Amino acid sequence: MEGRGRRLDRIFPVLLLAPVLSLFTVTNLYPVTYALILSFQRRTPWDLVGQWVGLHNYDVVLHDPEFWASLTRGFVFGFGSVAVQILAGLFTALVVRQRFRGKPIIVTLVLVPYIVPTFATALIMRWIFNDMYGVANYALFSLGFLQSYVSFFGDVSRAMPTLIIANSWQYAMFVTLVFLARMMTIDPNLYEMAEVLGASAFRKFRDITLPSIKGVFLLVILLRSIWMFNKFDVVYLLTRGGPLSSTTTLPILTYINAFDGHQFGIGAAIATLTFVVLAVFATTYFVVLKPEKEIVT
Amino acid sequence: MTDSPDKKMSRRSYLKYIGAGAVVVAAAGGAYYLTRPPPPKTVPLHFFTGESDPDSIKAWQSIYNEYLKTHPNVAVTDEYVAWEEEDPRIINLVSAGTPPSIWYCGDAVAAEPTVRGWIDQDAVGEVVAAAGIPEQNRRKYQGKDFIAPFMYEIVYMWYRTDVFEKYGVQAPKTWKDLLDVCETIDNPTGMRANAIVCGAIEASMEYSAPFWWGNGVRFMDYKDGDWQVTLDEEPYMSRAVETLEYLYELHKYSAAAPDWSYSELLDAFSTEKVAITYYIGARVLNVVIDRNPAIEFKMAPFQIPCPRENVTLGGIQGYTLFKQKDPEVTAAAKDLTEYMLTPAGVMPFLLSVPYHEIPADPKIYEDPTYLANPRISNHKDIIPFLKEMTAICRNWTTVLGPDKPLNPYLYNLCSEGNRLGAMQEKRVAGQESETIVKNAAQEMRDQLAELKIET
Repeated sequence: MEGRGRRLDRIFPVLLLAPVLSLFTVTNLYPVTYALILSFQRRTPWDLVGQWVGLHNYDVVLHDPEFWASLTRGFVFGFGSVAVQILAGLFTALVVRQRFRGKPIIVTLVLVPYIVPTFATALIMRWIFNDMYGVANYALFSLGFLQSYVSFFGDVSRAMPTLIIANSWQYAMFVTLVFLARMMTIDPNLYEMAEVLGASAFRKFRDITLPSIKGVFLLVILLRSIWMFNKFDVVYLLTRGGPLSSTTTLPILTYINAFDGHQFGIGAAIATLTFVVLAVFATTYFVVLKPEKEIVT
Repeated sequence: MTDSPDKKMSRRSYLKYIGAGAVVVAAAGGAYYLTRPPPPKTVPLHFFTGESDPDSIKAWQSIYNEYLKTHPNVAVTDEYVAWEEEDPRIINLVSAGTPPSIWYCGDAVAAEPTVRGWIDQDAVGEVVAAAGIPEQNRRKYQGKDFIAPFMYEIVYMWYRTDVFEKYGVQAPKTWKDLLDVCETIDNPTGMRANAIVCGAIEASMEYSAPFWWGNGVRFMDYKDGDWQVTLDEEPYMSRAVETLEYLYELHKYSAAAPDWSYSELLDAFSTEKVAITYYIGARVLNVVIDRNPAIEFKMAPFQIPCPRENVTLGGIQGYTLFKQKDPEVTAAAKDLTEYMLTPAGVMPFLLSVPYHEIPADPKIYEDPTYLANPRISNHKDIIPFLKEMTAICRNWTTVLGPDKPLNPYLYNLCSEGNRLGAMQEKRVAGQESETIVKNAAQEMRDQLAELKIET
């Protein structure tokens, strides 16, 4: 009796975890393994069985200048987006943290961009930056910053910065939420003491707020960088990687090769290399910056 | 008072009760499943198209909903994708073993699936015969029909008659005329002369084809029993460079940016940002009537000028049927398609966007039902022009003329990355035309090697 009870005690946690593990296997482990195997094959819609080609796909991808250019653009888009999101997110968190009338309403409005579906965001941004009717052109032209209306998403030099801004509008609020949550745990007495000692707002931010949020800061950089580097939906919806491939990042390149070029093996190889890049980045990040120490403190 | 330990249920008891409950539910469900009356057998049909205009979708839905009233054993699921998603989606559906039952498309996109053996040409032939489609509208591969067509979509340009009158210019007949007119009427801070899309966008591919073909450029030719890329061979190479340079000059008077799609083209003309635009058909006219009726009667169509060959891009559109595993699906698909080709099926669609869908049967222009539509009757003056365009239009599969075999590759090679627009985009960005053309030819050859169909 007791033995059966002990067996049940051992099996029971596994039984409870089984649904989640099954879901993880089906939605994560299986597709990732499948993609890895696909990256060693030559497979097209007209040859679904495929042929084993070993490292040929990786050889083709690594010798393709477009891969390296897309990798660079990925870093530009990723780090550019993270920088804008952190600055905007931190600023918003600092503002929203203050006491003022209508704060609950403002906080709700601040969160709206994050909950708007990506497709709707892309549509809004297309209109804001439209070269004929867009409010961005209207405002910049009226203020004298532009001599005439310009194309934001259609110009090679402007497409990437515009994309970064359009993308950051939605995700900066996530950063705001994270920073706000951390700031709420800071002892308010520290600010009172600083006030008594005559510290300016900047000193209070630099000496109290910033050290307190440093751990979260580093974590946000890691997570947002990975997510932005992997971003497909907003880029595809707004520019499809154009004009002239100026916004083609690795996820877009993967899509173009797999679904426009019908080269599933090549697409899988690019996706695998993207994973490798991110894994190297994440490992370097943890080894060099040691963010876990900041979080503990 | 503390709870008696006897009243607490052990974990084993919990599991026993949950298990017993699950068995009861499963038994009840199984009993219901086994004893329920069998559902009526319906034949599922999948209607698919790359046409996503809301008015056209409504027309189709009304047509087959009418059919389903008298055919309750048929169930239709419809799928409307964006134009540029059509081809990849077809490939994915066929690869997955679930091809659509009925596909509304143009003969250009239907060519490759036909040559690959995906189309049930026997079934299509029976539908064509039942619909009485005249010989000049039939499209065949190896002697058998591969599409049951009923209308055309043709590329031409629209211009503002009042603006032309104001500047004292006429509708252009030559390339030089067009450039001169644009130079005369262009106002960089007001209404621009034209809208020449210069990006790797689907809109640019369709309108620019008549410029290339009209200048005698052959992207491919049928030589030594096979289709080969000839874009970088003389005389086509120098004609291609000439065309690219001409489009670059024309773009100097254009409002269009590289990211413009069809909707920007329509908006630009209907909101009077440009005096000349191109479009596939008369959707421009319908958009103007809906949004800016003040200029409805101040616009007229004209043919894209052609220096060397009198041709424009136009495709015949209709229905085609994929090979199915289930003969009942084939039979039901044929029946529904035949219905959709009757006047009851054709007229709602032709009138969903008047004049945009050009009837393949010229008798429809005299049909009282057709002429009763106000937009049709108010603009009857463009009918002779449309008949002219119908006579000279060719598409990607027949661009070299009817005496050459069907070309199943050209549409794909040019739509891949929207090649024609991509070439213009590079020219506007400052690259050399000759380099652009040579690179495009090589890319097409590389792609052709992947696409080659063994026949």
